[in-house]
Amino acid sequence: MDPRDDQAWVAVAWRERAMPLAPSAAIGLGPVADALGERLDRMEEDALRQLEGAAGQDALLVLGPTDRLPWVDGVIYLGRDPRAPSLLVPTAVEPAVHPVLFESAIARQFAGPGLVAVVDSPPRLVRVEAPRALDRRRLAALRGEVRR
Amino acid sequence: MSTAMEAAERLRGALDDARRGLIERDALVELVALGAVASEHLLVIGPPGTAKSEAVRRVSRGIEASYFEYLLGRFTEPSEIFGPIDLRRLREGVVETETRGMLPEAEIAFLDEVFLGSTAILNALLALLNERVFRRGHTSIACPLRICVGASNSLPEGEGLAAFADRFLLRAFVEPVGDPQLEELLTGGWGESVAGRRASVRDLDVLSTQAREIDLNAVRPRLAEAVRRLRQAGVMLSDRRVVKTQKLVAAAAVLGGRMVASEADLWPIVYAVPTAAAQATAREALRELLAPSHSALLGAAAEEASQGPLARAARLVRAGRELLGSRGGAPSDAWRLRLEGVAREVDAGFAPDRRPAELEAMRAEIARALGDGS
Repeated sequence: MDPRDDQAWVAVAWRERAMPLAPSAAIGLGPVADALGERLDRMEEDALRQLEGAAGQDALLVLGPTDRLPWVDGVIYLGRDPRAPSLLVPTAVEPAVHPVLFESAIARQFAGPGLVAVVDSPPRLVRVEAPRALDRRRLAALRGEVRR
Repeated sequence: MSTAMEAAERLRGALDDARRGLIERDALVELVALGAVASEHLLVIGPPGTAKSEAVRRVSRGIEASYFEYLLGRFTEPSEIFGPIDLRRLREGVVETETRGMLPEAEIAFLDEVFLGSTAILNALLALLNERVFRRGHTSIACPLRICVGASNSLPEGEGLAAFADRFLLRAFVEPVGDPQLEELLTGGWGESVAGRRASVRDLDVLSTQAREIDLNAVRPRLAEAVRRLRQAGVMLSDRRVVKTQKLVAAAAVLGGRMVASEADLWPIVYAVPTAAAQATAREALRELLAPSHSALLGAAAEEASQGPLARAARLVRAGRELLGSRGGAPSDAWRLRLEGVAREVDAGFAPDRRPAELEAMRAEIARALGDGS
């Protein structure tokens, strides 16, 4: 696995969280990234400005307050586990290894700027550049940047 | 359908009406019903203007109960609560109280700033709360009180008042509505609550009678385990509270449509814990034990107590059904956003393979409704 890749496969067991995290981000992969982009495009400008966005390999990531995050079928909600605050992790499940060890292992592979979003199903680590505030122009640019 | 089931269905309608338009007060409305069925009283701690009395008033209206409400102060006279002395009888040398329309004749009561009452008031209240009997002079009458809800800004300090507060087995702590719900608060508070009677005090009595016959044998070991875990976490319940919690569990069972109490009905123990901080500790300590919590009628209270997935799923199913049922001819953007909010909470809260069947079906309906441009 080349740590320079923006995406990498991670084999780790996942279990249900006792208490889901509050979502602070939503990520769409593949066709869901397109659907998420379309949904964002339908938002009012004011609502869009409350969000930040970033693009990764075949992925579109949006961050913001829980009640402002859009929904499309297939989007995955991510949040911050206080025990591993540098990662965006699934809200409903957690890795079977201690979050501190999990974060440390990922940080070793993905040193550098930007964010790492962890997805359990399909199992993926997605690195994105630092998210920026969204507006129509920025959203259009991000949708073009979603690399396939 | 049995008489108790019919009564529960009618009470469900009354609670649905009572909840409508109140924001973040679903659990409080349900606790009033739980207390009334269990014949235990409720103490609500929270700042002024947080809909404490409105929640109680609505439940009372929904079952057309005789209702008494009063704001106590340091100089409140007993006659303002219990009724004036009957002067005609006094001339005959008999000290009797005219209780018509006053607390001794109420089926549901709300006493605001309950700890500000004088010693005379609190002493008379003690007997009324404990025994449902009002005694004053030559007056000694049985009171039809099903539940007294006391309210205060904070828990009392001092042993005397603490002893009085202990008569309220159920404890609820409310805060002003959070920022994300302010728009809902404004919308909900603008309209007037006009719901009529959906159930009756007789329905409460049927359920109370049923609750006394609930089989607790299977759940007692779990309840004892819950008390042990609370003690290990530093949360001490008096022996009286421990024993009386069984009444809450039995009431939860009957309101959940069960004649045999199960682990789904243990959640009221959290509301028997006296302070907010201790309740937070209790939720954490009992998280695993309360994971199976759910209730057909008291879903919000069960979820708030247990923070368990089943109760959460039941609430989301209810919310989704209500929204889909209110679609109307031309769904508005606001409606779509609210529906998306439910879908978001489902997806964020449950892994796909962990969604209960009913929740998964509801999610599919929501996805269809949002996908077809409705």
